[in-house]
Amino acid sequence: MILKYEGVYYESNDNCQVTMDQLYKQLLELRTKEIVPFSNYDAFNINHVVLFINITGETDLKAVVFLCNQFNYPFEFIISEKVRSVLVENELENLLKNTQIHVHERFTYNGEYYLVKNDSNFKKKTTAVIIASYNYGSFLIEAIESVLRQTFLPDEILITDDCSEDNTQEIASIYVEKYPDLIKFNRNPTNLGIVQNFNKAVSLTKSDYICFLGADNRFRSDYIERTSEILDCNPRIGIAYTDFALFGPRARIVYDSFNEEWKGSIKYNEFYIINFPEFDTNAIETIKEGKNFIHGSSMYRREAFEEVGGYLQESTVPEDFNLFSRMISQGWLAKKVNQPLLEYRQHSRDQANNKMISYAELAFYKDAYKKSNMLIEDKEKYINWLENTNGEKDKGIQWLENQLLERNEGIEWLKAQLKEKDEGIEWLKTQLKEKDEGIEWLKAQLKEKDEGIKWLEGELENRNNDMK
Amino acid sequence: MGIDAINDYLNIQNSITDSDKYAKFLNDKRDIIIAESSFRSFDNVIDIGCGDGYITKKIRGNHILGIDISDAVIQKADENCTRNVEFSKHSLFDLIDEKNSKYDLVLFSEVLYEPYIGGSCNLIYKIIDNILNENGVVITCHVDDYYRMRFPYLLKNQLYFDNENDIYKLEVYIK
Repeated sequence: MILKYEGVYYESNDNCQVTMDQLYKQLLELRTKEIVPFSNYDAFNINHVVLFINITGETDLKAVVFLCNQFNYPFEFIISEKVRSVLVENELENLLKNTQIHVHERFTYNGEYYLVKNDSNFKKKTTAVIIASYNYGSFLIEAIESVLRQTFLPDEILITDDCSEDNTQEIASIYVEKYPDLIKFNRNPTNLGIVQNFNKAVSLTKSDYICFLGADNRFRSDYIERTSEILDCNPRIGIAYTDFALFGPRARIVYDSFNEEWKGSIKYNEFYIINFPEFDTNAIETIKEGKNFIHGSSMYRREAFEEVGGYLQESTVPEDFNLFSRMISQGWLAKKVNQPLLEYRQHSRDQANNKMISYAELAFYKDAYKKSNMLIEDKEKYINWLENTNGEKDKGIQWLENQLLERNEGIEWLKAQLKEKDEGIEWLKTQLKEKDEGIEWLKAQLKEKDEGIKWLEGELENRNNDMK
Repeated sequence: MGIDAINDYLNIQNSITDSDKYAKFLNDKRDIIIAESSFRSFDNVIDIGCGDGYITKKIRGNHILGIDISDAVIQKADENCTRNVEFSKHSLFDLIDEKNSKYDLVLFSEVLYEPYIGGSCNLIYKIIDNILNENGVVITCHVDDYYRMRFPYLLKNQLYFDNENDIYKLEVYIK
């Protein structure tokens, strides 16, 4: 595979600009591959990778060379004549002295290549960190922060709470809310004890590599970078372990109890380093004798874990030592990072359960308090707005009610009008009736008059006849 | 680097309106840094992003170097400079060139914020590792909300303190 970087910068304004940190991360992820010079590239070898990096006028060439030199890889830099012309004389030659960087004036490869983006991911194996807390709430924040600030981040973090009675759940929930894609939380409804809790926790993760961190301890920030490298580079190695640094009130006492030959340096009476033996045939004998030098926060392969059936209950030795012994008996190898990558707190149980408020915890709560306050302010603003809106709505309703009232009055008035009209009609009807009666009376009068006239006419005829 | 982020950051700085109060806070901060560095003596000290040198001039050590990318503050720092303190205009990333000088104490006070360093944390860890002696000390002091780094050394101490607006975190590392 040919990889080509268009440009590497301090910050990325579009996805083709890769930051120094992303370049570093991607170069770490490529350690399972065989990085070859372009001249040795075999396109049919799926493990071969060639790294082309385009140097632009805006690239900090010195910084990119320095970063690339941290890796034992060959690189192909594309430096155009134009870019080269602004460099001081011999600057490029001096920069590239004793490096594995080859310079090309332009990118001439005609075959297929992959353009590396800022968010490109070359990781083959994933890592889970399981933080186990049982009433270690007061140290939990320090443990979580030590994982979140790793130079090479894990793919998942599981906080497993074996039914603590302290603030473990509260702290974990806030972190889950803040990093929903990275952190998960498991709380056992009853206290399961170490073995069951650990087996359950492993079953709740899915990554290829697993490591446990006691909530009272901290990882040095290069723990994952260094331990996962060991597992990445040799598939027969099942466990990557480290030296550790004891600290805390009982550090000295615990340090004194170790084998003389394992005692390392003491740093400012603060850290007491234990240097464990390398994993060789002698070391395997040491393990068989029941002497452990692989601490419980070592990183191991899920494959090895599943092959030996996980942590076992019936063990007379500590569960982690028992697990690692069985892995080694099964033929898995182990390898040590010669650095104290685990900061191992030594305190009495009393102190741990004392709910001693650490500074980190104080800061955490102050921060949470500040955020809550901001939230409350926002909510208050919203309530104010709602109240104002409500007031306006009330006014609207008042107006509508008034309107309604006026309409009602209108209707009443109309009804009254109607009634008056009805009465008028009644009166008119009466009038009509009276008039009709008058007409009837007049008709009767007329009839009487007619009859009178007829009688008079009869009389007149009679008189006429008499006269004849 | 990100103008918006710098502006955001400067707004925070400016939000401390009472300048006397802020000056007092800077003094307190300096005193805390000096107190936390006094658990051993130092031969070579470097104060990276030293500003006008208000910490550089007070910190104890045989040879002290303050560097900053701003010409103006370096000139100001150079005034009334005592003989074992030097200032020069350099960036943190110029330290890649340091071939032989090894330091016993590296100090970062309000430098390692994203607007200033972009996405280059791992580059910085490597640069510092290159110039820091075995058993050397790194002290960092930053507003906790804007600081995401952790040097790959043993963390001797972490200390929190606050002014009215922010919680500061001070870390002491041992290589």
